Amino acid sequence: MSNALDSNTENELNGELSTGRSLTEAALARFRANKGAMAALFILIFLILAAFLGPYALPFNYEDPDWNAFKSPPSIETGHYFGTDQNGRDLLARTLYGTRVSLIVALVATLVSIFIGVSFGAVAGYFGGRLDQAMMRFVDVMYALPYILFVILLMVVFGRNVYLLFAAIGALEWLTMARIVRGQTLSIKHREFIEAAVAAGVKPITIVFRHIVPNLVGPVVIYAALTIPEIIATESFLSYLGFGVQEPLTSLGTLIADGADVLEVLPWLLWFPAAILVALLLSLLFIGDGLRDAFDAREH
Amino acid sequence: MTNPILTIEDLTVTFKTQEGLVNAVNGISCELYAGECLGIVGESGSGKSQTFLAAMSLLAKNATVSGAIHYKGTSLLNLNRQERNHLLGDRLSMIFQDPLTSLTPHMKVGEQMQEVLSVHQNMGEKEAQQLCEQWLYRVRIPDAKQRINQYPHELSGGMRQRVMIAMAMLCKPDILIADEPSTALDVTVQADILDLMTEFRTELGTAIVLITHDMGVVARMCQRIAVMQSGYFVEQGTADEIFYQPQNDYTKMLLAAVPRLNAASPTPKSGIDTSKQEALLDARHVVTEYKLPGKWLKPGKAFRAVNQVSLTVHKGETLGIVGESGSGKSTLARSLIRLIGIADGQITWLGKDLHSLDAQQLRIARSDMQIVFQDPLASLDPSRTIGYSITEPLGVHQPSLTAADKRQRVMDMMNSVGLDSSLYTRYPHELSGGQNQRVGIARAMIINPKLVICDEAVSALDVSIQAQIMELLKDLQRRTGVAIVFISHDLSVVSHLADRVLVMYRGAVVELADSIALFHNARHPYTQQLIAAVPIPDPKIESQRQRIKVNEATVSALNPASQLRFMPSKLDTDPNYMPKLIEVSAGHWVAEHDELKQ
Repeated sequence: MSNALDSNTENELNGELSTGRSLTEAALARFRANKGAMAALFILIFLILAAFLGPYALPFNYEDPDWNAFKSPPSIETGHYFGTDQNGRDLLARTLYGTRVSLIVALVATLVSIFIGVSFGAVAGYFGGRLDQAMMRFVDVMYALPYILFVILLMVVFGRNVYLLFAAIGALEWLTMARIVRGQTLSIKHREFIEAAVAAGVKPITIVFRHIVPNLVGPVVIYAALTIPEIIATESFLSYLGFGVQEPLTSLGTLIADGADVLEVLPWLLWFPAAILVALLLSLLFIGDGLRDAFDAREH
Repeated sequence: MTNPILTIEDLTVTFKTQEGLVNAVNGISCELYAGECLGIVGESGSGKSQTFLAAMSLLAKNATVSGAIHYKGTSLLNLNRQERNHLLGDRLSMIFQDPLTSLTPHMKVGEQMQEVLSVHQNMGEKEAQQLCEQWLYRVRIPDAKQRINQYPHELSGGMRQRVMIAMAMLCKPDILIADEPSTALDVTVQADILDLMTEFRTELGTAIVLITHDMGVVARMCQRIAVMQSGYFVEQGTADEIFYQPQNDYTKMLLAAVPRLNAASPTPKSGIDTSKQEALLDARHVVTEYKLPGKWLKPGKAFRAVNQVSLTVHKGETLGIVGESGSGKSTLARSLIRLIGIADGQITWLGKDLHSLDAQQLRIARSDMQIVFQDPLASLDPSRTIGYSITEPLGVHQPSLTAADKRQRVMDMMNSVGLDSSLYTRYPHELSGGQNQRVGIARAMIINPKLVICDEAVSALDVSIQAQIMELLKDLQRRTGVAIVFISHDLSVVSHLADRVLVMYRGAVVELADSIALFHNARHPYTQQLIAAVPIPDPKIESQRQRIKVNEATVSALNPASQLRFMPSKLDTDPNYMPKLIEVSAGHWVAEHDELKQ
């Protein structure tokens, strides 16, 4: 630490750096130096591009059957690189489409959870007292509801609906985020720079969003990166149970569920979507791990 | 002299970091003889600790060492693990700055000490326990029999450091390396710890290496001194040579920068005659309490951190508040500007009752009172640039300013606190401690407050930086007429800045007087004890000084009777009695106390 300070002081003397580098920028630089995480990031980007652009490059649609190829194994000659299913639909097209749905669900649900979780947790943590008690007991009650039961109930009441699925997952995922953010806020709010802001007369709600939330970037980014795979897995699980995305729409979970039924006769229907899911989850976990190392400066 | 027991030759320590190679120690050589105390002085980052961590094989993994370190002819650098374990802790031992982190929290004091004995002397449990007890007595831990079965967190800081010393001395080592052993401790406790080390040196002939930044401590303890700067010994010599005929410019600068208690009186301060100035802030019988956790269904008791404190701050003056850790000085400061609420009493700010203002009025009042904190890095938002931090109060109190005006004001302010304007877009972690503290001061001064509270504002800084920051505060006061409440545990620093000084003990005021009167004619035994405990950076004065020690504190701070440490006569008749302040001469107030024998 002192060494780092010394070298900075030298740079100042030489006038080398004209603008500063924030802690977040420094963390991202450390992330870029992490080869494993960068490789995972490239795989993720490749998967995202494939999921969103790939379908336009394919001659097959995810819902229209190819009357010439039912239950066709993967082959280069027919153009069905991943094979086809019982209805003659191209598995590559369906897998790409499923990946897209899974990614969108994860992204929307994560953004919802960040938005609600950070605001809720930071406000509860900073203001403390009764407000904190009330807000966090609400979180506890939500936690106590069995997750799956909650989603299933929603499905039963409102019918099966992809958007409802997004909302249900997002509305539950923010709970953990709120707890994490509240904990971090409690430790930040006793730091002297918060006291300095109070002494300067800054309004409490401004302090929360101007001084506390920006300092939560590290934990929030890390947790969000770990939430995405969790949501993808949850969505897959719900779809597998039959509560998620329904035919002819599809998601990775639905594809895997369908593939599992015919594993013995049409094994490729399981292997390809499963491989994509694993690649997606692994790369996200690697990125989450890399971010945690990068933001946790104590190890450096 | 006889042969040295430790020789260091051309030692170099290099760290491999992400930014490249960093040379922490650049080829230093020195010798240590039996029974002497060698002082290694230098500012933070000078490599003074790394040198002796190398001798103890305790360097971080990314370090490479070259050169030679010999203990009685054995090279310490090429030992295998077994030889090293055999030697270290037995013949050479070390104590560290923070006694809490250097004791294992989950092990009882006795167990930790016995571990040393079982490793090095194969001693049985019974025998070891007895020896440990003896050593605890020797380092003057009261009730050693009970203490030996306590965990480290149950002991006070001074007591933990004593345990560390006892542990280091268990095997009667030839060399004791003490790395800032008293820096984290109060002055009175520091004095005890230093005395203890001197005692071991003279009685057992243990050679001591004392690594410290404090010239006063060195003057008190050491026969020979090496001054270290950026990995080099810039000067080595006897204590007298270093203190009275320093050759090197850096040594001279260090000595000049050290605040001296004995040279305090003539320095010009704000020069304000307080009796003629109007009062800015007037506190009457202020009480601040913290709630202690209660038991199940039982509300917790309240701990009085500040107990019936009355004081007045006049326009343009500097009021010093001194006290040891836990005396409530920081709590008082925060109560004075309503960063925390008060339980009783009244604080009047410019004629208004500060603690009954509503949010809007309070915000207006805050434009005239600011605070500078101890830890320069922690007091700045790590995610914001320097410029942003300094601008913030301006945005709150003068929202009508345009962005360009604000920027100009901030640039001017940065300039007047000695910060280069190119630092505007930098982040706090990219600046040095001294620079960050300037930022803290700039942020406090930007809205031209009438009062700035400096809570240990220079305590975390190196002496040379400390001197600069103190100069800066004086300068700002001369130019703007701001009143300063300067809080510090360091009496020498306060004696340089304050017009009047208030001494606190366990939440209450024990003495309040003009700075000169206080430091030359202290009336309260606690003040006298405090002043006597401050090490003076002058070996001749140090060797002739008398220590004053009165009535060790025995009761917990939670007990109201702790207020009666200096008035034991009331203990039997009225244990809740609160000593009153009596004006012994104009402006010199002293709390009631008994005539205590030293």
